[in-house]
Amino acid sequence: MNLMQAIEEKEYIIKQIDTDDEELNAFLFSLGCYSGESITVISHLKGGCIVAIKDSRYNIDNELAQAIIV
Amino acid sequence: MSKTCVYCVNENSLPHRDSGEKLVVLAGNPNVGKSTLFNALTGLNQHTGNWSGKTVATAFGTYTHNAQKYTLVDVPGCYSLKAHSAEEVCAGDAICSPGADAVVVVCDAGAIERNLNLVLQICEAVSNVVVCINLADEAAKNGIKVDTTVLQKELGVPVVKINARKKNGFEALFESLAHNQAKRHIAVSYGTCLEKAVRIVQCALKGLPLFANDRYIALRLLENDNRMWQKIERLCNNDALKYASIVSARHRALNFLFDYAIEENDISDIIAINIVRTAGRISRAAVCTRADNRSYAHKITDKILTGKYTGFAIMLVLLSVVFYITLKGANYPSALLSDLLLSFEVPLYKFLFALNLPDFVCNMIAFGGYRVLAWVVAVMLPPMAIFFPLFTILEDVGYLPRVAFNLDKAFKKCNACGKQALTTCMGFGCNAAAVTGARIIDSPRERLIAIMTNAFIPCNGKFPSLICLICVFFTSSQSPNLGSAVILSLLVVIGVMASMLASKILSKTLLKGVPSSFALELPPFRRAQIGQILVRSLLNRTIFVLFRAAVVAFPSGIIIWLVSNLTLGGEPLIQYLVSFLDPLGKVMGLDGTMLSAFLLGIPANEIILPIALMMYTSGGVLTSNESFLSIGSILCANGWTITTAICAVVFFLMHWPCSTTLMTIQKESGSFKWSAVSFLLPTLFGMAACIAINLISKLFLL
Ligand SMILES: Nc1nc2c(ncn2[C@@H]2O[C@H](COP(=O)(O)OP(=O)(O)OP(=O)(O)O)[C@@H](O)[C@H]2O)c(=O)[nH]1
Ligand SMILES: [Mg+2]
Repeated sequence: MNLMQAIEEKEYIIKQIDTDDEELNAFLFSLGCYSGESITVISHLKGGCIVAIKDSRYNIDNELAQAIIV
Repeated sequence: MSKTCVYCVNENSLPHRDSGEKLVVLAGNPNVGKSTLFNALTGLNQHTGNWSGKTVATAFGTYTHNAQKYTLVDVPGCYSLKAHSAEEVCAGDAICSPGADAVVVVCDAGAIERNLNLVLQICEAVSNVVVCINLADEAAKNGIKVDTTVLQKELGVPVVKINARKKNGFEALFESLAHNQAKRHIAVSYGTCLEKAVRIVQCALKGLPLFANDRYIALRLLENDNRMWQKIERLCNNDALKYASIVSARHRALNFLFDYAIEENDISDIIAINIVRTAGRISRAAVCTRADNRSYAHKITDKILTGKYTGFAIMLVLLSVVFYITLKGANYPSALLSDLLLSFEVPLYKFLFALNLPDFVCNMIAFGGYRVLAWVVAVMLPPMAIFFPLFTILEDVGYLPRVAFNLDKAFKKCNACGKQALTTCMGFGCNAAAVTGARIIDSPRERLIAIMTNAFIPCNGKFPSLICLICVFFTSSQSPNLGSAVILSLLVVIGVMASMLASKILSKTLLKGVPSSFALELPPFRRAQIGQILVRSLLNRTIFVLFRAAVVAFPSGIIIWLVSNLTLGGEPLIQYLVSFLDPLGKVMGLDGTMLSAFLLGIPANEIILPIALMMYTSGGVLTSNESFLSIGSILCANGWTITTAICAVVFFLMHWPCSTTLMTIQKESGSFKWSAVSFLLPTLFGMAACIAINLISKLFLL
C-alpha cells in the first residue's frame, strides 16, 4: 500500500519509491526517505500529509504520498 | 525544467578580493542557521527566519580575524548537491566555486544523519571543508547529544560546535579556518566495480583546470548530469578532442560496468544508497539520543495548528489578533505624530520665508513636499512599524510553513504549487521580497504564477491605507476596535482568494499545466527572540519608511503641488489628468483624483492616500487638525460616500504592483510580457470589482 492509506502515528518501513522522476528520487534520498527506512504519518489532510522521517517532519502532497510504498 | 540560475555566483561574479583575503562559503541544509552565523560573523543583516528557503540568493560579507580578512558567502540551503530548484543550483555553484578557500558546512545537531548526506557530498566535491554543528542547544533539549570527536575522526575534517544565536564557539571555528589545509577527507566507497569505472573517467579528466575534485566530477559524469556536461564542455572550449575523449571514457566505463551487470540507470541509486548508508553509520556512532517527551507536545501543537477545522480557525483568529494589535497600537502614535508633524507646516513656511526664498518655493516645500511627507510618516509609519515585527515573530516561531500546509490544498486546486502559500505569506511583508522568494518553487510555470498573482496580497504598505479608510468609514466609533480588525482580516481573505482565482485563471489560459509535487520541511517551533526582533525590525521598518518618505514622498509632494498650482489655459495642470480619468473613476465608484493618486503613487503604495489628500486639499480646503476624523472630513467634503470608500478599499487591495515589485518581476521573469500581465491582472480584477460594486450600490441603495 502507499502512504495515503497509512494509519496515523503508526511506524512503517518503506518498501519502494515508485517514481520515474530521477530528481525527485534523489531529493527523497537526501531527506532519508528510501526503501528500508522507517516513516510515520503524523496526520492526513485532504491535500497531503505530514510525515516524520528521522526526527524531521515534512509536509508532502498526495502525489508524493502515493509514490511512497510501505 | 530550466536549471540556469542568473542570480548566483559563478566563476566571474565573485566579489573583488584583495590578495591574501580568504573566501569562505557557508553551506548546509535549509534552516540550520547559516544566515544567523553569517550575520553574527559579518555584522550584516541578512534575513533569517524559521523555515526552509528563507535565503534564495547568495550574499557576501567580510570579517577580519587575527589580521586575516575573510570574505564570507551565505548561500541558500540545500539538501543535496544534486540540484532540485533554482536556488539549490545557486548553492551548488557557490560551493564548487573555484576560488573558495574553505567551505563551512553548517549542520543541525538535531538531524545529523540527514545533514551528513550533504557533508559527505561536499567532502567529495571540494577539499577544504569545516563542519559546524549548530543548534546544539535545541538538540540537547530534545535529548540528542552529538560527539564531535567521533565525527571528526570519521570525517577527517575539523568539526566544531557553535551556537550561532548566542555567538558561542566561534574561536574554534576561526582556528580551524585559519589552519585549514587540504586534509585526508573521508571518501565514500561505492564498491570495486563503480570505483574502477570512476577511475576510468577520472583519467580522461586529467589536464583540465577543474573546479572541484576530479572524483566528484567523474561521478557526476557517470550519472550523466546535464549541468556537469555543460561545465565540462565549457572547460574544453575549442578542444573538441579532449571532450570526445571524456565522452568515450565514460562509454568505456559504462561498458565495463555492464559486464558486471550494473546498468547506467543504477549508478545514481548505488551512489545515493552508499552515501546515506555511510551517513547513517557515522551518525549512529556519533549521536546519542535519549527518549524524550518534548516532541510529543510539538506533535499535539502541530495537530491543532494543521487540523482540518482548527487550522483555519486559528489562522483567522491569529490574523485578527495581529491586526487588532496593529490597529490599537498605531492609533495613538498616529494621532500624535500627525498633530505634531502638521503643526510644523506653518512654522516651516515662515522659516523658509525668512530665508528670503521666493514665496512660491516656500509654499511648494511647506505645503507640498513637507505635507505629503508628514502624512506618510504619521499615517503610514505606525501601522507598518507595528505589523512588521509581529509578522516577523510569527515567522521566527515557525508558523509560516504550517499556514502553507493549511493552504496548499487550495493552491493545488488552482493548479498552482503548494509552496505558493509561502510566497503568499511573504507578500504580507513585501510583494517584491515575495517575488524574489518565489525561487523556492521549482517549476518555472508555477513560479511565474506565484510571481504574477502576488500583488493581490496586501503588503505592508497597503495596510495603513486600508486601516485608515476602515476606521474612517466602517467603524462607528472613531478609535479602532475589534470590528475593524475583523473587517481587515476579511479583506485579506478576499485578497488571498482573489490571488487563488487569478492563479486558476492563469493556469487555465496562459500557463497550462498540472501542479508538480513537493515536500516542505516543517521546522520545529523555536522560541522567537522577541526582544531582538522588536528592536531590530521596529528600527529597520522606521528607517525604511522614513527613507522612502524622504526619497519618494517628499519629491512626489512637490510634484503634486506643482501640477496642482501651475496653470495652463486657466486650469491647473493636474486637472487635465483628473478630468481625463474622471469618467473612468466615476464608473468605478471613485473619482478622477483618486485614480490619479493611484497612478502617481506607483513608486510606493504608502503614498497613494497622502497624495490623494494632497490633491484634495491643494484646492484650498485645509483643516487644522488632521487626525483620522479630519481625513474623513476632507474626503467627505470631496464627495466621498460609503460606496466610494468600499470601492477605494477594493482598489487598494487589487491594483497594479508598486514599481519596486514590477522591477523585481521583470528581473525574475526576464520577460516584458509577464511583467505586463502582472500589471494588468490585478488591475483588471480591481476595476471589475469596483464597477460591480458601484453598479450594485446604484441599483439597490439609491
Ligand atoms: N535555538 C537556536 N536557534 C538558532 C540557532 N541558530 C539559528 N537559530 C534559529 O534558526 C532559524 C533559522 O536560521 P537561518 O539563519 O535563517 O537559517 P538558514 O540556514 O539561513 O536557512 P535558509 O536560508 O532557509 O537555508 C532562525 O529562526 C534562527 O533564529 C542556535 O544556535 N540556536
Ligand atoms: Mg539563510
